[in-house]
Amino acid sequence: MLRLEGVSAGYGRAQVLREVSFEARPGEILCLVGRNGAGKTTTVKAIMGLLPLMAGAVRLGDVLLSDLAPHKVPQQGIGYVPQGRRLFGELTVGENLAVGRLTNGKDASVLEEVLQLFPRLEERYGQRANTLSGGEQQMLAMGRAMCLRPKVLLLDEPTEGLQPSMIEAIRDATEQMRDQGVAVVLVEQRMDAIVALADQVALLENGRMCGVLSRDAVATEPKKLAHHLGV
Amino acid sequence: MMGGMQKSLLLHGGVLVVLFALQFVLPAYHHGNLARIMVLASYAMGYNLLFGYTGLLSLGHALFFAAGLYGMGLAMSQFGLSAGIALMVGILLGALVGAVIGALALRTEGVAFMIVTLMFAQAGYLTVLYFGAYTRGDEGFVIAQADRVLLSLDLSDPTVRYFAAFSVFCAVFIMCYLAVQSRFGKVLIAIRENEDRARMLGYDVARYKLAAVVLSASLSALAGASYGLLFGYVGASFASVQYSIFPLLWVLLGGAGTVLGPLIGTLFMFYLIDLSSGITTAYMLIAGVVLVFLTLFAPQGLMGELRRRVWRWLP
Repeated sequence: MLRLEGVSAGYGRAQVLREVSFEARPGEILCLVGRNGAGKTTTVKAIMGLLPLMAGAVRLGDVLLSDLAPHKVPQQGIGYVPQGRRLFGELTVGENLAVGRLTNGKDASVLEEVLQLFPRLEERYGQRANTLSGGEQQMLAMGRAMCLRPKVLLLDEPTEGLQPSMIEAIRDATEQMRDQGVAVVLVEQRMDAIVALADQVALLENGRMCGVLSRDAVATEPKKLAHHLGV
Repeated sequence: MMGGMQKSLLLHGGVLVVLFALQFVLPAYHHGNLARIMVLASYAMGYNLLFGYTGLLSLGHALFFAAGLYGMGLAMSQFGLSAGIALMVGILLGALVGAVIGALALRTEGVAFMIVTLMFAQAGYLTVLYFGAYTRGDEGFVIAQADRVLLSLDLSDPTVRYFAAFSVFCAVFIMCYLAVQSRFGKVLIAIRENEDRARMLGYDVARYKLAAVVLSASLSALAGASYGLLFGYVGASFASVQYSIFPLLWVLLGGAGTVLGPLIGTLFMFYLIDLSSGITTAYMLIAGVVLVFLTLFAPQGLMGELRRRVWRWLP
């Protein structure tokens, strides 16, 4: 599904990623793990075309994403929930979801699905996004990305700073997306979340890939995973 | 219990009804003023579409207003076209200038966008002065009363003029109201709120921004052309930097990103200057002090504050 082939990227002349390769498969959650500054968010940005590649390629099936203009990447079916949510604060919940849906041929049923998954959003439907709590904002950010009916969903630390009940709701939604056949790339720092959700874990250190762990390996080699977590 | 949409329709429809009815009760002086205010508010609404809804601060909108004004005026004075066709020429010229300036200026952003638009407007102003043989430079030119006829209506007649100004205002007001509620309007607001996020949802942000510039320029040109037709004068002062600053002030005062804000801001500023100039020759000092207080206590503009505090449904 989504393949990174020897991707090198960075900011200006400062190279952050060096030959990063992995594959996110449909119906699986791939956790991208590494210490702060390891290049997790940079990897996600490189996938979305927000950073020019210095080398390598990003493919979605047969489509070479790294050749496309940034706004065309989501049109291929890539949903992105960035760190810090980045909602359209002056728009209501309903309008945020509508804006998310517009590039998807106005598929009306997707809205029902999102509201079913996050009933809290239905209660807040007419409320401006900047008046929501952190957890509700995260639900909205995820719901908006889901409105694209993505084949691949990129989640950058979606549970950061949330209370336990909200974390639970976000995790349930992530699992549901996986069960629907979406390939999920999850940037995560919490050990418990990785153990509970990951089908495979890609380990990053100083911008380089230093291994991929299977679900079983995560359970049997927790020390290896722990080494790549934390500050 | 009425929903936000019904309240909004009622309020905006009510404003149009009041503006229509005022022509029957206002004394001649205010009658003329309000006609002028409605045309200038149309200019401010065009500006608001770009600044208030898309988040692009232009300092060169006088160029678009002047494109409409001179496009219409020169079409009549140099080519002898009728008022209706000249009006269309003015609007089309504004749209064309908007497309060209937009394509170039949108290669920049933030402060650079402001400076580039300001420079283009200054170039436009100097062009008007340079071609003084046709434009009559600083002095400007008058459109003969006999030529100011549209659909057999004499636009110099105060009643017809008021109705024509009201019609232009209505057209721009309804267009802006519908635009900001539409898919297009929501995407513009999304771009204003977070351009990168809009792009990451699959929107071609550059195309939307260019469309916003062209639409804003066309509405400004419509206001410029209407102003010339209704008040019979085409002058270089309308192309000066002052007329780029005015719509910014009107929109900021009334409330950027609100449909009613430009009308309220224009009305307030017009009468503030009108009344204070009757008290002292240093009227700009009074206007300045009032503006400072308004900025301090209503930083989102009058309608913006109203929306923040009371009417959250206000578009």
